[in-house]
Amino acid sequence: MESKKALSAGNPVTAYIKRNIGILVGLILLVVVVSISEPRFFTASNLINLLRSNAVNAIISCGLLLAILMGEIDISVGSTVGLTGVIGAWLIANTNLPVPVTVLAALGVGALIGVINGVSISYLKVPAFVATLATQSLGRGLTEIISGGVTIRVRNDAYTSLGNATIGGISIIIFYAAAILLITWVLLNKTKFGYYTYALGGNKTAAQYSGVNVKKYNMLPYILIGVLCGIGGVIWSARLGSAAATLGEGFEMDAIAAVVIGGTSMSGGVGTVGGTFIGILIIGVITNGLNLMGINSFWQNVLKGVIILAAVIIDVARKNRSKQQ
Amino acid sequence: MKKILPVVLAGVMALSLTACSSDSAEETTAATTAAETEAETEEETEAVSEAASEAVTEAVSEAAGSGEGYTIGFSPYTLTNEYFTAVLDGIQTACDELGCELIYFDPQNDPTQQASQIDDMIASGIDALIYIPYDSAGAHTVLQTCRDAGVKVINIDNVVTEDDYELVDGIIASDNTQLGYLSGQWVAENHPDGANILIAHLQTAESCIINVDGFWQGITENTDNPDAFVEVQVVEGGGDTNVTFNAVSDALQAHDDIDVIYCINDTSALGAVQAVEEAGKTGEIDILGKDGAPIGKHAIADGTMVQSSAQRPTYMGYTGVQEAVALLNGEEIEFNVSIEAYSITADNIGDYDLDAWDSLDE
Repeated sequence: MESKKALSAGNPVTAYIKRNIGILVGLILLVVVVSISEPRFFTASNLINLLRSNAVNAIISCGLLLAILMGEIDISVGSTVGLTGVIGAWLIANTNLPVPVTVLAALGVGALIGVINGVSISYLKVPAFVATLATQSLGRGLTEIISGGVTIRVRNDAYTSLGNATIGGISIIIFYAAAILLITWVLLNKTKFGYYTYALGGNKTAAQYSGVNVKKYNMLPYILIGVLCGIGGVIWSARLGSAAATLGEGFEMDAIAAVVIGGTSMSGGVGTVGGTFIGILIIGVITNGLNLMGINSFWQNVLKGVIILAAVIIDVARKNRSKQQ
Repeated sequence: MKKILPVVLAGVMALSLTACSSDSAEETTAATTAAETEAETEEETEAVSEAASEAVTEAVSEAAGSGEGYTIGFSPYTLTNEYFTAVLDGIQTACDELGCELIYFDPQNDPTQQASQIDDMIASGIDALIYIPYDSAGAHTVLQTCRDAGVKVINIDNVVTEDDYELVDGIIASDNTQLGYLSGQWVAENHPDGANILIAHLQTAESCIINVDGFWQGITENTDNPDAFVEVQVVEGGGDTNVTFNAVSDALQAHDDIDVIYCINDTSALGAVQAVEEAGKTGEIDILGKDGAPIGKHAIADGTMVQSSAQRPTYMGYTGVQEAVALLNGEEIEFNVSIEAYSITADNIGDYDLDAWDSLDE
């Protein structure tokens, strides 16, 4: 809740910079280093490529931000992306359903996984890590059953254009990601939903005593996360023109990393869409920059690990300092 | 942080719970008697046309129909990868034809699970094991257990280390050097003036490292000017479509002079195709895959891929069972069988069934 106040006070741009000064400096340093060693980094076509490559991670990260703000977690997102992507591809390949119906079906399945997560966590009091571990396994298993272990080919221009179309030369999925970041920002900052999401993470008991329907507002974000994963699944299967049972594996790690690097506290209550956006860019620049420089991907993992660890250490240190004050 | 500790602990406990219970998963048995009479006649005609792979087929034409009563176990890396499901298809077909019972589990790319599942199979009384060790260097214990239990082991696809050869009863594998070689040869022949080459690798797999070495060998042995073929970059594609898509997209940003992309399987080649298309370079870059998977063959037919060196997973599984049954019947088999790869290109794509991996005849 305090983060909300900080954000709305004074000039929004200075407030934003002030809030995220640490990671902004980190991002700028990273960009400078990469640009100097590989001049092709800072070209329009590569920057568009960078945004495009990270668009789905941005969408999933918005979902993870909601979970982590509540002091919870969701590790089922990668498998839900796989499940919805494979369902979308399967319906296109094996039925004559119109594309919009197929997309709705995929998003619906995502929402259903969200309902299972939400009900288990908020009503049945299952710890979020365990509940989403279960749905992760469930989703991946269903993905494998539906695909039969085989890559499903999609040959339907109306469907593939959902991932391949461009607007003014810029990939459409960048616009999806921008829209979803914006919607998440509005939800978190301008609605009761957002206010309660922060409140639950700040102090659940206090929220309950002040009359918040804790169960309901603990569940709703999970449904939203499921739908966001559905969007991610449709985008990937459309874009690749195919879907394999491995689609989405490990997506949860990049999303959690982006949210945590973006300054969101793992214990909930503190974190912003703006910070998460910077976290997404940092993850993206590491991968893209090191790929451009021709550095082995094993080192990319090492570097990501170091940066995540640094982000969490800073978060803990900050909290300890504010406790002492 | 206080909040998260119990959650993590609970998670770890849940993990160990699932680890304990997963052994009982997915056991499939199959025994067909109806197909047998039909199978026998098929076997005979096949035996005539398959004079090429003499040792194996001969043994089987004698043994045909006499596999009844045997139980065959199968342990691959995973069953969520279509290459291994194709191996399973071949195994299932052979078991149906010979009247064997089949037991298999999915080790989910985990060597420890694979070992304990094989223990379970031995306990349930298998006579022979068709084994694709996830960790070829760590297969020793499994092999020793099988030997002690009197279970015959046919090691296919991923070959165990030479020290363990004495513990296996037969080996059937693709020639990984040749698979790469055929692709390299295609590049040398179709780019006589040289080429800038991007490799979409899977650097953790030994077979892929051999593929890529074979690829370069195929180039240097088929050109007068090996220096004109330059490795621009090696990216890690993880053998996966979307990982390769991102990695190749980035590499195309870094280099605008790429002529050829060699991918270590068709699944990753699909990602390269899409990355090239989104970079607006379709037609300028030749994309080569490996495996001859249905998706790869479709891509060659569509013109988005130029070549794929085909493996024969179905045939490999099929002959694996035939060898196992022959052994159980006390026949001699060829110890080490290397399965020939073949090159699929736009010129010969019409000869193949696009929707199947490989056929059992030839």
